[in-house]
Amino acid sequence: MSNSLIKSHLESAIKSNSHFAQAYYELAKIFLEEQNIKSAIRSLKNAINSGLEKSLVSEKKGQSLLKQRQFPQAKRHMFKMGLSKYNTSIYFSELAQIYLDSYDFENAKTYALHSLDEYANQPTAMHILGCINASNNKWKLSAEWFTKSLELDFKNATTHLSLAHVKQKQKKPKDAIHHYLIAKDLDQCISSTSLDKLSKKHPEL
Amino acid sequence: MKNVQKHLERAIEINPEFADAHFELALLLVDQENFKKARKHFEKTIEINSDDAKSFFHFALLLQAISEFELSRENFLKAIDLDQNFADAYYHIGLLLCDLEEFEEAKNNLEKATDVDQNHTLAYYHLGKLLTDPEDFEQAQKNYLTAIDIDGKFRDAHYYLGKLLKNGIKNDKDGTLVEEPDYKGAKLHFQKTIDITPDFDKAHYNLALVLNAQNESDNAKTHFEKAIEINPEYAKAHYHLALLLKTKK
Repeated sequence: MSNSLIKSHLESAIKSNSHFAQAYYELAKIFLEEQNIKSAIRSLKNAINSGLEKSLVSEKKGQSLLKQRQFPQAKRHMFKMGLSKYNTSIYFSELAQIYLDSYDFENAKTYALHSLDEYANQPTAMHILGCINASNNKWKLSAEWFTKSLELDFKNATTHLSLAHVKQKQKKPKDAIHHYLIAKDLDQCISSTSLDKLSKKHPEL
Repeated sequence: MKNVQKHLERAIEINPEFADAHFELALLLVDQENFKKARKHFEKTIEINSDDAKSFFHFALLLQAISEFELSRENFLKAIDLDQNFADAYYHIGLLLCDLEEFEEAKNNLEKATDVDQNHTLAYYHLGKLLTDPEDFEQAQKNYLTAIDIDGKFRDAHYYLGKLLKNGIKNDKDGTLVEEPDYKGAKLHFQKTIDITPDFDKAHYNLALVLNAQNESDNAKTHFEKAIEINPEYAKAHYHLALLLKTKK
């Protein structure tokens, strides 16, 4: 199946509903797959704007129903708002990840923080903030973000590996090895020469 | 029709206090969407005969049509006050209250309509649509099924029951929110909807979602395509078809 047919349907969806956040997001994923970063960013920004708008509409509706003491209906709109905020936080995280991958740490940080504004328990955004701090040699902050991220998504091998590297930099070999071994357990393709060396120095772990 | 109107107007000319003539003329004018003139004749009917529930009821319907909601509500209530077994008055005030976002009151009135007239299909159907809280899942299902039981070809009741079963969001016995879609039941009702109205785009779309969830992707694709063929601007159908094609890559 070629991407062009998939893209054409997503574009038709957007043409019919210019606020279709999820369609923009799916389109952005295809652009990313095609290494078309500029279009991916544009599409993600559209997804974010549509998502924010949708959250606001649901929130206003929910609040208005709450004032009228129409609780079951208000609950429905509040639930929709929560879901929309959660989805928007994912779009923000994806955008932050693109900026992180292109070493634009400032934008990456901005969008990762926006992601957490939308949904405070977004582990991807926390991981990105951990990476940004690590790239600035802020090991303590970095470790904190990676740890928070793992509290929410313990089975993320990449975050364990990143934390292992940070712990190594902090001269905490036992913690580093602990997270490295978990990362390897979760994803057997993971390997790091420096962490392997460190592990050999502590065969007891 | 013009003749009827002429005769009614003549009857009123001869006897300006002829309540039935005013009432019939008002109904005729409503049909012609001449609401301004109809209103005058309803008001006259009520002035002459203030004990007729039917007059208040039809006047309330007219007021609802011209968006004078509060006055409409008052007149529905007067109709109910005069005839406490007036099922249609309960039903229509229920719909009015839905528009006014007074859902609990709307529910009470729709329930009253079904109490009074146990074959009031539309009241059961709208009651089902109103019961959106997960806590009311069983009750909503029961209302749709009753509507279908009375009228097996009630398309929208099949369709909304299908949607209710497809989502399956309900509270279990200890009050925990659970998601237990009944795809088999949903499929049956969406199929029934399509049998009744083959060109119902949303039914094809929802059936496709169910089929996709059951890993019948080829069938799902057919129904997504059908929904798009019927309505080329169906955004959600395009979107889900795109997702389906992506998984087939």
